[in-house]
Amino acid sequence: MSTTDSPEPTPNRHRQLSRRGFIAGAGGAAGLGILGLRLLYLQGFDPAGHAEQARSERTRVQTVPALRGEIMDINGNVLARSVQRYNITVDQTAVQEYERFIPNTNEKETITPTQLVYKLADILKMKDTEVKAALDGDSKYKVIKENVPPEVYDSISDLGATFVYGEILSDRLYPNGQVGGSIVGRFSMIEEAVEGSDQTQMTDYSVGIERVMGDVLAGTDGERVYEISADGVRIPVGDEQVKPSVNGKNVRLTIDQDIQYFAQQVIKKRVEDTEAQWGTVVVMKVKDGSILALADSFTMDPGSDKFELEDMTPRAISQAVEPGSTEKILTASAVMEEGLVEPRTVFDIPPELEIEGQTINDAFSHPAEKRTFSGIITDSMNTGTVMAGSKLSREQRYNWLKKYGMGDYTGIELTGESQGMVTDYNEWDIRQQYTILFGQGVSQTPLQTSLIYQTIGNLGVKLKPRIIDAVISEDGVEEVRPVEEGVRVVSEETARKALSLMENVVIQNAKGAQVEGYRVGGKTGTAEAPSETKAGYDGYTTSFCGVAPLEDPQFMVSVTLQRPKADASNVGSAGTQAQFSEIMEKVLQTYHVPFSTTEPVEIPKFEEDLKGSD
Amino acid sequence: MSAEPQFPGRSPEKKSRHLSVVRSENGEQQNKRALVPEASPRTSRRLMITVFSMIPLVLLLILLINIMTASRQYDLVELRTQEETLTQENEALAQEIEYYQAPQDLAVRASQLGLIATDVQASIDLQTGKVTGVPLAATKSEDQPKNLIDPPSLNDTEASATASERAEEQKKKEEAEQKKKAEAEASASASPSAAGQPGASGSSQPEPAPSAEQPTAGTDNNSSQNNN
Repeated sequence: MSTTDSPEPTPNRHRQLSRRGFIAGAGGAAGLGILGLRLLYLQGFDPAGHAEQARSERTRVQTVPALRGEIMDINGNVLARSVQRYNITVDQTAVQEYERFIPNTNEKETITPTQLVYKLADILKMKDTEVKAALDGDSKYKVIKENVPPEVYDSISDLGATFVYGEILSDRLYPNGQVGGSIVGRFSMIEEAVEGSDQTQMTDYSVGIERVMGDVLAGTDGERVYEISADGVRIPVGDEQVKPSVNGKNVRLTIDQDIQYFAQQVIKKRVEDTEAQWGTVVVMKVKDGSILALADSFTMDPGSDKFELEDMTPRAISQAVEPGSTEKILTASAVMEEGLVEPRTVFDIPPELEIEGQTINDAFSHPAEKRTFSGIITDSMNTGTVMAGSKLSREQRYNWLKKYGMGDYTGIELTGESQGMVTDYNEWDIRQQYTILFGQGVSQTPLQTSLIYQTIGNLGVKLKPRIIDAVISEDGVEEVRPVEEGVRVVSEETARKALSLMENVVIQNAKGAQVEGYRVGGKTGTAEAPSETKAGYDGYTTSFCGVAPLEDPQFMVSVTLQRPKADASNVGSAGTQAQFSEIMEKVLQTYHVPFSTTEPVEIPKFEEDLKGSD
Repeated sequence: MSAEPQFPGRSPEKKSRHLSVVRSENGEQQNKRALVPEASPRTSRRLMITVFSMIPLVLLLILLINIMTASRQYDLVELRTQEETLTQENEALAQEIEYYQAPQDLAVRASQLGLIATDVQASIDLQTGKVTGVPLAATKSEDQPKNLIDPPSLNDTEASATASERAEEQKKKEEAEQKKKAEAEASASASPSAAGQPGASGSSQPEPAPSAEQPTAGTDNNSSQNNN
């Protein structure tokens, strides 16, 4: 070919070569031209679609699944994580005798289907008959066993049976089981048929944090498109497009796993001892609204398929109950904030209060007596509370309930929250307008009730309960959820007065709630529980809410017990004070809160003592 | 050849203007030769040899590169598999740790090792050196809290399997102890002095504290679902 350019000094040779060269060149060019045209025809125009077919046959699209983020407690203990698992499947039509290399040797052995059944059964820990049944048949796709760990899959692929496959999938594990199970929730995506078409769609049935933080946890799946050769290895020079997956972010909760476990233990024991329907505990940091524990007597294990529907959500947010006397602190703070009553204001308490034709009774009988307001709250007297509280107009009473957030969602980032119920004051009946003052005739979730105590403990500023502490990206960057600015409900002065009332409850009446070394304030609550099946009431809801240490409250604990099997007086006195004390002590010790250095300030219950003490 | 081979184009031309015509004819011939480089047949052959020897060399190089990329491809596949295996191993190990760390599993393990929870605790303020609280050694009390919470389900790791086993063991032990206690109480009604020493049985080996609770029907219910 290069002969055409040969130098001139030898013209004869040049002419000979160029002629031959011309023929050869022309022939070559023509051949190339034909081939080129054919190539253009096949690859360029591709009327029969061969090139396209070939490309699609060697092209593999692989989804690169994004790893779902972990859910952790405040100390970084993992509460939920994703792992790889395999479904072992078989193409039944291809089941036959095959040869394989004996591992680590060059010798071959023959494996018959029967031998394979025994081997599979051993590896999968299944019955021989079950495996045999799975291999028999003429289905192209049959699942032998679902959800096996990678090491099991590895030993199966070592068997070398080409008709047994492993389908990779992601499984969600909950290493703590029932501890915090209902908070973490369950991750559950179910493929469902769309009505009226062949297509299916994924429906999210997740609950708890898994649901609320679903988008953050999920990440984005990536995709890898590449071409493979006949032996299954990627063609090095072939097309490759990679869209990297973005793994989900980790979510750190404010929950403390140890406190959560301790609270669950305590409340479960109490429920078993009293044969109650259920019990629930809220542990909260007063100053930023962080929730350390939402413990239930019964909780679902998110990793198990067996659980009761009602165990799926913490009862502290799902169950609206009549709070009872714990509401008296709300009433007391309201009348004190309005400047109508002081802790030492004296009331003439009759044995029974007749008001607008309604009789208000106390849980214990007493003669007519002159009591301080503190004495009324200390002994949880309905009569005195109504006398003080009725100084507020009906509208004021309603507004105060609303100010504390009753009847509204607390905004906690969990599923299944109930908003409780506060009927409009225009619809209150003649009795309800008084009973709401001591917590009957309204319904609140234990968390809503807890927020009264959080507000008082935080010296008047109500906060939104916080359960998600931070979102942590894969490279460890923490995006801490800020504490939302609170709402001032009562002045600091009023809050301190209310704290003093609560302290007197603990030192003069509910002594079981005391915690050694610390000043504690709290309030008992016993309400009749409205029956779920019939009109009227059956059983009681008994609770204790409190804060500690009183001089500078750090933590709020509330314990609620539904329908304990005990008579009314017993429930009122025993209740949940000891459980409150146990949990509060644990929390204070865990967080190394120094002992109180000041002494409790006692306010006398009766007028005569008041004169003596001043 | 030319007198001044280095500058075949320039200097002879300059000379030709000033010198004789005869010489100039010679000079033109010389010039013609100088324009087509004299060494041309030789250099072209050399070039040809270089070019033709380069072709197989380049081809060989391309082949080598191809072989290398292909074998790297295999390495890549192998490394990907290795990465996956390691990720899975890591996952499995982390999972084991987490199952062992679960509070209820730890509690069971602790009481099996004879550990007792203390409810009296003191802390030191590092800045002032002040101690709050009076620390006391834990004492084996009769109403030792026992674990009431079932181990986590999903029995596909060794850790969760052991945890379930331990919980089961512990439960049996507690039941046995309650039975023993009930018997002791029954005999105690006959001879009151015998009741006061339930701790004696625990001296030879660490044993979970006897529970003071009356057996309730609810304690030993739904554990079976975790074991299969």
